[in-house]
Amino acid sequence: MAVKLFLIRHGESDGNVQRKFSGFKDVDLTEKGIWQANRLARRLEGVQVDAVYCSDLKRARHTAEIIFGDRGKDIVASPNLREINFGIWEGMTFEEIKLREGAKFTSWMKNPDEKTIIPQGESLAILNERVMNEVNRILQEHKNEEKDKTIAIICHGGAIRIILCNALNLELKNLWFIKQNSTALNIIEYYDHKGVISLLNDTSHLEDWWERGLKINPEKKKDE
Amino acid sequence: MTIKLLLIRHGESEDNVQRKISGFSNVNLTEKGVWQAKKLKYRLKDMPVDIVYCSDLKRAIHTTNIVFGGRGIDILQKPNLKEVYLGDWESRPFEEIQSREKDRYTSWFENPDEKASAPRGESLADFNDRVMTEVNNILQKNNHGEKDKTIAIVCHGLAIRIVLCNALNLELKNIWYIKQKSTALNIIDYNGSKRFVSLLNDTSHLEDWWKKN
Repeated sequence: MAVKLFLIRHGESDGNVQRKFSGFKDVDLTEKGIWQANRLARRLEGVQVDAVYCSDLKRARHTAEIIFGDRGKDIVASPNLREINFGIWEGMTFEEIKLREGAKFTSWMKNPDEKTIIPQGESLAILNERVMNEVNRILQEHKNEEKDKTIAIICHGGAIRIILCNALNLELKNLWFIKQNSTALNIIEYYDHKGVISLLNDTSHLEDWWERGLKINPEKKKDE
Repeated sequence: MTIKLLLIRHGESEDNVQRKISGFSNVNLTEKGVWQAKKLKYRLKDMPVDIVYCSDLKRAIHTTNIVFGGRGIDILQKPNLKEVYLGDWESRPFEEIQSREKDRYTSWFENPDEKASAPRGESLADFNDRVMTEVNNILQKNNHGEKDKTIAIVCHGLAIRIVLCNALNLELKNIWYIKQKSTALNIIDYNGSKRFVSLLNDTSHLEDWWKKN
C-alpha cells in the first residue's frame, strides 16, 4: 500500500534571522517561527497522521509540538534527522564564511561536490547517508500493511532537500535548485519503491489570499 | 532583475474524466475544470502578472481566460506550448493501451528514456526541444530593463514537468516522479544565473482547510 510522507521544515529560527549558519547548532524558534507553525497546525487540523517523527534539535521539536502535540501521538525525535553539521562554519554568517574560505565556499554553495567535507562537519554524502538510512527505516516500518499510511517528518531545509533529491533521482549537487521556506510543506507519495513528489515548498498557510478574500468579500464564499 | 515564472496546468478536461489519453486532442474543460480555474482566479486575483502565455489548445485557453481574463494584460497563444503529441494513442483509453501495448506503455509512462514515444508520436527529446525553445524565448524576451517581472504560462502536465526538469537539472527519464494535478500552480524564480523551483503542484486553492476558519 502507499505511504504518504509529509516533510515539514521547522519555523523561522534565531539563526535564520541573524543569517547565521545553523546545522547542529541548537537554536530556538523566533516568535514569527512560532506563528508560522501555528498557521500550519491550523491548516493540518483535519489531516489524519499515523506517526510523527522529528529531528531532535529544538527548532524541529518545537515546530512538531505545535503542529502535532495535541493529537495524543508520540512524536519520535531522532538525531539522524538533524540538519547537516556545518562544523567550523556553525554560527558564522554567509559573509564571514566567504571571507574565511573564499572561492571554496562560493563553489560549495553554487555547485556543491557531495564528497567535500566541511572541516569538523559533514559532507552532503554523509548527510545523505545518515538521513536516508533513517527515512528508509521509517518507511520500512510502515509498509507491508493493509492500509495506506500518512507519516510526518519535521526537520530541516538541507535534510528535506536530500529526501526530495532521492525521490526524484536528482543528483545531490543540484539540491540548491530546490527552495525550502520556513514551515514549508512537501509531500512524497510512495508506491512500492517509487516516490512521486506531489507537493514542494508549499507555504500557502502563511499567505493571506484566502483570509483577505473571505474578510473583504464574504459574498465570495457563496459563489464558490 | 528577477523573473518569477508561474506554470499552471489547465483544469480537468473531458479526457481526464474519461481516462483517455490526450496530447494534441483538443478536448474541453469539464464543469469541474471550470470550477477549479475559478478557484485559482480567486487565489491569484491580487498577484500582479505582467504577461500571460498559453498553449493553443482549448483546455489551456479556457483556463487562461478564466484565471487571467479581464485583467487587461496580454494573453499570447503559443502552438509550441501544446502537450506532447501522442500519435496513435490520442483519444484512446489508458486501460486499453496498458493491456494491449504493455511494453510500449511501460516504456513511456513508467520507464521512459529520451527516445521514448507513443507509436508515431513525438519523442520525449523532441518534445523537450520544442517546449524549452519556446520557454527560453519567452524568458529572453522578458529579460530586459530594470523591473522585476512575473510571467504566467498556462499549459499541460507533461510540458510543465519538462520545464521543471530543466530548472532542477533533472534527467528526463525521471519525469514521472513529479506529479501535476488539475490547475496545479508551480513557480520557478530566476535571479541572474541562479534559479529555484520554489513551488510545485500546489492546489491549495482547491482545498477547504482555509474555509473552515
